[in-house]
Amino acid sequence: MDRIKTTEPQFDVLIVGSGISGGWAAKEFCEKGFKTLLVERGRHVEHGEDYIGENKDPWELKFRDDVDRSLADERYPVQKRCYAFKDSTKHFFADDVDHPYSKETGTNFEWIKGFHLGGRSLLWHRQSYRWSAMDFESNARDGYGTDWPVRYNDLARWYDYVEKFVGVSGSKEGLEQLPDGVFLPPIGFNCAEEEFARRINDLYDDRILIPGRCAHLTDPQPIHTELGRGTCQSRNQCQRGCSLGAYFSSQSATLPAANLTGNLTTVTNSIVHSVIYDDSSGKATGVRVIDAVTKETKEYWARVIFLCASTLGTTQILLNSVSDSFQNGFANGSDSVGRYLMDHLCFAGATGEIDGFKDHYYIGRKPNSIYLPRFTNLKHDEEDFIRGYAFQGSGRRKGWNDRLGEKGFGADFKESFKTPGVWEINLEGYGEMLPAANNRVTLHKTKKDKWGIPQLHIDARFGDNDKKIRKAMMDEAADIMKRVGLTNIQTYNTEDSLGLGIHEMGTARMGRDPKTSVLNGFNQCHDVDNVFITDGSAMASSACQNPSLTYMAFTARAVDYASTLMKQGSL
Amino acid sequence: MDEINRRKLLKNVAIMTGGALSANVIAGVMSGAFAQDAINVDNPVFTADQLELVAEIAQMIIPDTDTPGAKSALVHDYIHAIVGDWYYEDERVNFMTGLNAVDPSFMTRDEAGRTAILMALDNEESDEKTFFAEFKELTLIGYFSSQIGAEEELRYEQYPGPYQGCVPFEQVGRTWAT
Repeated sequence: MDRIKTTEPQFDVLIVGSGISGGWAAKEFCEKGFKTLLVERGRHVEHGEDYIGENKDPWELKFRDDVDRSLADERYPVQKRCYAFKDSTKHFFADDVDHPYSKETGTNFEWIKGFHLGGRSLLWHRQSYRWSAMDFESNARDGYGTDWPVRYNDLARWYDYVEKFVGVSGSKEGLEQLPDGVFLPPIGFNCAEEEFARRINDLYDDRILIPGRCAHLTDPQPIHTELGRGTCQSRNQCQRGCSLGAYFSSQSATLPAANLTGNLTTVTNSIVHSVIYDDSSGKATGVRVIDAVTKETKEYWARVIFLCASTLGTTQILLNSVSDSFQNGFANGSDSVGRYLMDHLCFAGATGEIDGFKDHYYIGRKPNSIYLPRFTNLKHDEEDFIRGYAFQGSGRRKGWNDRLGEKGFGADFKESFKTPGVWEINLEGYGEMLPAANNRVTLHKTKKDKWGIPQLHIDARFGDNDKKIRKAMMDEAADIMKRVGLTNIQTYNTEDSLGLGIHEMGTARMGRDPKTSVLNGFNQCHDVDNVFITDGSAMASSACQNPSLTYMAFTARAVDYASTLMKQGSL
Repeated sequence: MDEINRRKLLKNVAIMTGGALSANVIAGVMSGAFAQDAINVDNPVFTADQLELVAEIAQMIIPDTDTPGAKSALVHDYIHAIVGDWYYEDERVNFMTGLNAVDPSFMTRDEAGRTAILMALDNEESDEKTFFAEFKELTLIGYFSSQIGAEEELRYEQYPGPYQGCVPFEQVGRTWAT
């Protein structure tokens, strides 16, 4: 068969993965007029009608939203550790038995997976923060990790661009380490948070407590309502899916926008096995796909390929794409594909009680956090660790479920639950994890999944700096609480939590030097110019801010760059 | 949320979105059940007498007051589902041992007698969770997550509306169930 003829591009662009990054790539290319194929490994999820857990009241769920334990233990031993894994959300988590991976002995990286249309954009925690100039300069400053080939100023207008479409609620604060963005009105403090913020702001010169910035519509603009999106109703059951489209997801925003153009073709249940590389032209011609249901294989061809399959998903595809030119993985001349795996340092912090406000309460289940931006090592490294951390958290009045172990029974006991308890504040650190070459993902030599694709083998652990930050997050949370007069302070630091930040990043990093990095400053493979990677694997450091907003900005920017070259005919 | 409130919400959403409501959204909002159904226990482990005993103990913990108590909220069925369908065998054996050790005269005693039996159980000290502590925990969860417990005894809204972080307590009136 004539090879040239059979690999004639069927599409201008092929995008692998439909989560936060893939959804953005699809929207941008389609709106620019390119015929676009979106390849998703999992099933179709229809906005609204496939949110089968939505609107379930607690009494409609047999185990009151806990997942049947034998099911969780047998089929979801990893996924069940995710805070959002519930009876009403479990269908948005990939079954661990069908989707196995391997862990190096003595290590434990929990891989939380959403294998369906929309990916983890349905499950994310929606906190949306810009990275700062400091964050893109940090690798150069202290020498850990390779220097970012981009700076904040390269990305600033793309943050503006994506925030406007996403709808990010937040407050402008004028902080250098946490740049302001294009915001809808914030989902603000409750009484206790307000008081806690006042005390912190009075006591410290270097710290401020602000409302979290989250991808919820508090005042929808035409750009949102045109897609059928509405105002957040404070249900805080977002991971069940939101028919109102009040939080940003691929289903609520980018995919409908892409579909409106008529340029999008979506295929689901299509697992990308590998990227097809043409040694003679030095370009990728398409992807090999396995049908998840029938296990039949087929190929799709396109001029340009965007890999947006999530950090570990993209890494698996790259490592499994071997050719004469790339015997250790696609576009892997640097041997850095799979290395430098990072997550955020989470599950370390403190809780404390704050007096007062007994005659006040709130209305709504707040779907947003409070935020205490990074305050350590801003200009110079003055701590016994490098980089830093921020705090997220919340204030609430204690309720019946805080009193399960109390003595008592009878009418007065019952009556006592009508009155809520004291106000409690939680501060949880989000710390920056350093990129380390030995935190590495490879393909397992023998183990395969049921589609015959080699399993990922993950070997990652916290380093010394990471552990120091974890301890500092716990100690400092307690110290802040003590200094501003909170009581009954309890600290926590769950070391066995790598991966549970669900911010995995770094395994196909950007860099200036093709010898030490996979991607250039436009998310384009150094080794193969028609392949781009814009999910978390592109990240050269982790900063301490939630990364999704930055993936979106990078994706929109990479599409702009690629489409310009395509229109010029040089790509 | 009752049907009237659901319709109100749909109207509000329609206003917010300029009337552009898809069939999917309507289906989503309208899909919730309107009343609590019976709890289906796949692996029943209580005899009729044991189920009655469970119901009566739960009712002593959460009795009828100005609102219905545990029995009306089907807390005994919830506990049955947890013990039968959720617990692993060792936990189930443990629970049944505790249940069978309850003073056999409980069912024939008057309220004062029942109170005395439960007082003794409630005051048991142990490093591990006692049977009664476990029973009470299940009762509280079962009750406050039931429709009666959540909507009548406490406050519950499926759609609370835009967040209001600091309002006078009277505006809410009772603890939020969720």
